[in-house]
Order: sequence, then C-alpha cells, then structure tokens
Amino acid sequence: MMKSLLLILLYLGGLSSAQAALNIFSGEPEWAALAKELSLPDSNIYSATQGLQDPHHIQARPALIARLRSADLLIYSGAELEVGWLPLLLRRAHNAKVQAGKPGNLDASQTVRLREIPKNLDRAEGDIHASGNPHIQTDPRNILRVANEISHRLKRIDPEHSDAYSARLQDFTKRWKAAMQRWKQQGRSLRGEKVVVYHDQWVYLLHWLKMEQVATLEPKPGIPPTPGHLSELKAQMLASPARMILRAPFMDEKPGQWLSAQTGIPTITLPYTIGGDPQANDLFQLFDLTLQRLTAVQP
Amino acid sequence: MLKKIPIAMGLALFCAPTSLLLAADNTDLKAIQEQIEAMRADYEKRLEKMEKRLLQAEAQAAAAKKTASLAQQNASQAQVAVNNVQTDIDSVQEDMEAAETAPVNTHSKSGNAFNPAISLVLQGRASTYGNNPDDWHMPGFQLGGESGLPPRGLSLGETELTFSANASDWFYGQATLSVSDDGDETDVGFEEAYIDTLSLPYGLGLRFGRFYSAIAFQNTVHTHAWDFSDSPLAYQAFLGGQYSDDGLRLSWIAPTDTFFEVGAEVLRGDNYPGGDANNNSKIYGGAHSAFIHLGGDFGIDNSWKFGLAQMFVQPEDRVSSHLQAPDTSLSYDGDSRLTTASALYKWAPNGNPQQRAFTLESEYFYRSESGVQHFLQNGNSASIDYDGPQQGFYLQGVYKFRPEWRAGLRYDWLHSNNKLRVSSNPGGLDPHQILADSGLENSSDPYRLTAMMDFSHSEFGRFRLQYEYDHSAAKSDNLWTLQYIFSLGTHGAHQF
Repeated sequence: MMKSLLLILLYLGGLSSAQAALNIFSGEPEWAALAKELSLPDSNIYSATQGLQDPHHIQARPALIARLRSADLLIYSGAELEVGWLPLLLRRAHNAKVQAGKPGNLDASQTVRLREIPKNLDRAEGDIHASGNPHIQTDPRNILRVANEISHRLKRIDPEHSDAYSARLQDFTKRWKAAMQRWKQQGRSLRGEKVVVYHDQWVYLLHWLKMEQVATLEPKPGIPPTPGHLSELKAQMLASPARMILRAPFMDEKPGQWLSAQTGIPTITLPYTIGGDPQANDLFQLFDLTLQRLTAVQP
Repeated sequence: MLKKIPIAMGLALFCAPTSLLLAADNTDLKAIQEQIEAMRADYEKRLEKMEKRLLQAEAQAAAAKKTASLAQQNASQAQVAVNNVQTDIDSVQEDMEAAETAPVNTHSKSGNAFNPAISLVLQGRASTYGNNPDDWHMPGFQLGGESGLPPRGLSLGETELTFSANASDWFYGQATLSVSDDGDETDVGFEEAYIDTLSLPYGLGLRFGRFYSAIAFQNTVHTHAWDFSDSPLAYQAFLGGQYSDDGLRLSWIAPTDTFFEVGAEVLRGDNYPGGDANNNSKIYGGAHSAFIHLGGDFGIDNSWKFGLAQMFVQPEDRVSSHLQAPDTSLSYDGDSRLTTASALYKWAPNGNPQQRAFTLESEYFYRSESGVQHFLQNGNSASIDYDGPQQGFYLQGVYKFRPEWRAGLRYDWLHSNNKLRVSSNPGGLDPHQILADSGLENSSDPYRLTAMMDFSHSEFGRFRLQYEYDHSAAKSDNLWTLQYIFSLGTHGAHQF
C-alpha cells in the first residue's frame, strides 16, 4: 500500500518536472489573453474566471487550488476585486512562487492609476474597494501598462527566453498602438455623452472616451437595484436623459430593461472582457466590439 | 486684316515671274531684286528677333525651373518641420495619457498600516421548542464537546472576532476568538489560532496551532458560514458539535489539474471525541488523523469535492456531557476510531453563484469505540464494557433562487449498535438501570428534518428562519429559530 502510494507520488512529481513550459494562472480572462500575446506559444495559460463570470463572486473551488498549485506566474486585477477567493487560494495552493512579493505574483492594479479611491470607507457605502475601482481593463492604455509589467515578469521568471519576450512585447505594442489610434478616431463622436451603468465597472472606459457616468442602477456598489432606486432613476432620466445604459453580460438584465422600457433609453451589453461576447475572442476584438456597440447607438 | 497679308504675298509671288518675262527693262529687274533683298532682310531681322525671344524664354524657363526646385526643397523642409512638430505633439499626448494611467503612490503613513485584518461576526437568535435543553440527550451516543440544543428564547449566541495577516513571506497567521454567554459566565476562547506556511516546496503545507480538524468538510467551516443555524446531528454525535484542537497538520497537493490533496494531523486529543488525562502529556499528540481530498469542475456550471478521512484517538476519562439520570456521570476509557466520507457538489449557472446557485452536501460517519465506560451514581460506581459501532449521515441541499434569497432542506440520521455489559458492579446497583441511565442503550434511530430560508441584503448580513422536526431525543420536538448573522470589517474569503 505504502509502496504503491510512493510510486504514485513519484509519478506525479515526475509529471511536474517534465512540464518545462510556463504555467500562467490568470484571475480574469483579459490578463490570460494578454499573457497569450506576450508569452511563448507553448505556455499553459489558465483563467480562473470566464467572460460570463463575475470576478467578484466566484468561490475558491478545488479546481482553482489545483491550478494555482503549479503556476509559475499569477496575474490578477487586484484592488480587492478577488478578495473573496484569491487570498484563500494563495494560502491553500501551497505554491511559494506566486505568493505576494514574489516575481510570480503580478497585481495589475499596481501598474496603473486607480480611480474612485474612496475617501470614506464605510460598508454603508456598499461593497466598495478600499484601493479604488478594480475594473482597469476597460481602458486600452491600461492594457499596455500591464503588458509591460507582464513581459518584465516573464523575463524575470524565465530569463532564458528574455529576447523572445522582448520581441513579443515590441510586436504587441506596435499593433496595440495602431489599434488605439483607430479606436480613438471611432470614439470621437462619443465625447461628452452621458451614460447610466449597472455597476461601477466602466469608469476607465468612460474616462478614456471622455464620456460621463450620470447614474448607477445599483443603489450602492454590490447592492442589487431596488424598485425605489429605479423609480428615482426613471424620474432623473425623464428630466435629463442619458444616451445609453451600459451593462456587463453577467449582470442581471431585468433592471436595465425596465428602465429602458420606461424611458426609451437603450440598454447595451458590452463584452466587458474576453468571452463576454462570442465575438470578443482576443483583446483587439474586445475593444473593436466595445466601440462598435457604443457608436451604434444613435442620438 | 490678318487674312489679307497672305493673299497679298501670294499675289506678289505669282506676279513676280510674269513681270520677269514681260519686263525687258533691267532697271525693273533690279528694282525687283532690291525688293526681294529687302524682304529677305526683313525676314532675317524678324527671325533674329524671334530667336532672341526664344532664347530669352528659354532662360526664363530655366530660371523658373530653378525657383521651382528651390520651392520644392523648401516645401519638403517645411514638411519635415511639420512632422517633427507632430511627433512632439504625439509624445506630449502620450506623456499626458501615460500620466493619466500612471500609478499614483498612495502610501499610508499610518502606523496601523500593518495591523492584521480584523473581522467581527455578530450573531443572535430566537429559538422556541418543547424539550428542556438541560435534559436533552441522544440515546445510544455518549455526547461531549459543545453538542446540545441552542438556548431557548432570545440569545446572542457566539460572537466571533478574527484577526489575520501575513507574518512574513513564509508564514500567515489567523486567530478567531469566540465570545459567548454560558449562564452567568462569559466564555472567551480561541476557536482557532494557527500559523500556515506559505512557501514550503513541492506543494507541501504545514499548519500549526489550534485549528478545526479536516476530519470532515463542515468541520472546518466557521459557524457563521453554515447553511443551517445548527450543526448536523452527526457532528453533535461524533465531533461534539465541531472539533478543533491543538497540533499540526501537514498536507500535500499534487501538481495535477484535478485537485488531489493528502494530509495528516497530529492533535492534542484533549477535546471530544478525545478525552482528558493521558493525552495531554504525549509529545506526538493524542489524536491522529489522515485525509484525502479530490475535487474539480464539470464545465463552468458544476464543481465537486470528495473526501475521505479517519481519526484515531484513545480518550481517557472522556466525560459524557448530557445524561438524563440525576446525579450520574459517565466517563470513557478506550479506543475511538472515526471514519468519514464527504461529498460536495455545487452548481451555479455560468459559474456565478452570486445570482443563482445550488449546493448539495452529504457526509457519512462511521465510528467504532471499544473500551470501558465508568459509571458513577450517588457515590456508587460500576463499569460497563462498551463496544460501540455507530454511524450517521446527513444530506442537505441549499438553493439560492434570487441573489438575496436561499432556501434549504436537510435530513439527518444516526444509528447505534452498541454492545454493553456491566463488568463490575461493586455498589450493587441494578444492572438494567445502570445501562438505562448510561444513555448508551440502542433505541430508535435519531433523525431530524430541517428546512430553512434566509435573506441577505448584502454579503455582510443575513437573516434566517429555520424549522426542524427533531426526533433525535427521546421525545420528538418542533424547533423554530430566527437568526441573524452580520459580518463587520474586512471579511476574508470563505472556503469552497
């Protein structure tokens, strides 16, 4: 019995050392997609959440512990977005390489300027994030910043392929900058437009496109819309209508639909991240589709 | 006018030969010659003029060409300048955008920045039922620990205070203080106080201090995170409600995509199902357990976990906490081996448990105990040879049908097959009465059916209504409980 168990352990140990390619564990699909652009083609990239999942509220499932156990690099949005599951995963996964402070632990929020840092920390304000709004991937300029950091970490973890990582970053940067020019042109017409959002998760997108958020369907962050709050919004919208209501695919459809029906303001579903829409399969498509959906709304 | 000139010239040319033939006069000829000469001279003059003008024009053209190329040069120079300016603008714009997205250092200057995360859980309940909680006993099982009915009426229950922080890049520490009222006294105790390693190699992890044993799934869950307001009957019968003890746990996670974990615990063995005395002095611990966990996902909607565990402890002087007979005590010396199988399945559409979710959990317990029960009644003692195979299980399902609302059902069942024999009876008590008063005689299998519904305004507060049809004690009972659970401060992640 003990002998066969030992053999199994040796076998499993052998499996782990045989896999020379990098294992990358991403908290969210956007960082997985970015890692795919920047790492070598043979790396194994796993995303803890998928496009239709709300990254605030998943659970520390055994499958995630198992994946994080073998990860060489962990990439996550940070700013307490994953506070409900990642700290537990980190402790449970028994993996020294991805603990805080190690090169294998990449908190994307540290590389960009966070917005909406609350002045007053009180749960009466809802489920707020003390470090600021964590939904940073909706601004393509942030993607570039995180890309630089990912590439830097890849080189530290796997110095042997340093040149290859540099080339990948250079190539991506070139393509991304060109795409950013295009999106900027497309987004010109959106300047100054007012929008209503479901949850405060479009701050970076709106800031980039210089659009204005005038209301949220949630009365407080993380608190589902209440009938009272919705009727207040209806009055507000009838008095001073917004151009559109923005929704992420994993948010409840009904409150937005109700407000649309009452006010005639269209609700549009943006992909939010990779896989948030069948047409958003990589970062370029994500922003292409986002701008397409935004600009399709006629005044 | 212009038309007339060629006509006149034609006439002149036509007339010239005729006049040559007709005129015999030399002077006439001479005059004609002179005329021709004059015409030629005139033509040549004009030709010369034209040549001159042509040359001038050519010169002018060349000059123009020169100016043009100069202008072109100037234009391209200007273009370069424009381009340079554009690059400058671009770089300024890039700088501005970079500044817009650049991280801002907001270092906290407070000396409290390194304080551990603190979370406070406030709970309270109102319970009503028929049985007297002081008389409560589950026939066939020697109970211990914190098993029992909740207090009747309004009560605060247990207030939990949790501190946690990384101690270094190697260690993480967490402590949970539990404060509760027990009659006139206030009980303050550490439910857990442990250190976890973070950086051991090869997927190894070590936990030491006081912690909830991994003997069964729900055993490691804090009371505020339970799906029902009380623990399953099996936990009351086999683990004293919930088993935490002092010691260490070593576990290893396989580098596989399917979760595979094996672990072993060495614990003090002081708490039920362990007992006092001898266990205290053992450096290698009084209770030993081992476990295997497997887990994974089926698609994005389904996840599962399965566990097997066994614990062996040799309690000495393990005192029974609930006996019906007055002035009677019972303590146990012997072996206790508990084996558990646990299964947990969770469903959440698109992997979003926040919106809608279903959880199905079942655990099976088998315990075999073999030893001597020391019976003491009004100063008379007796010994009972006790051989107790016992088993139990629970099955529970909880459905979250709206983000705020959940409903759950649970079925509990226990079975004992104790073999009892009075082996010594120096006090001359009635042997039948001894067995009856020990509470260990097998009776009808205890069972319980529980239904609950809870409402959570946010993830930090919950209200619960629970009904139980309880057939665990000698007399069946109906229990109603209204409960609240609030979590203040930074609240850490809950386990799967």
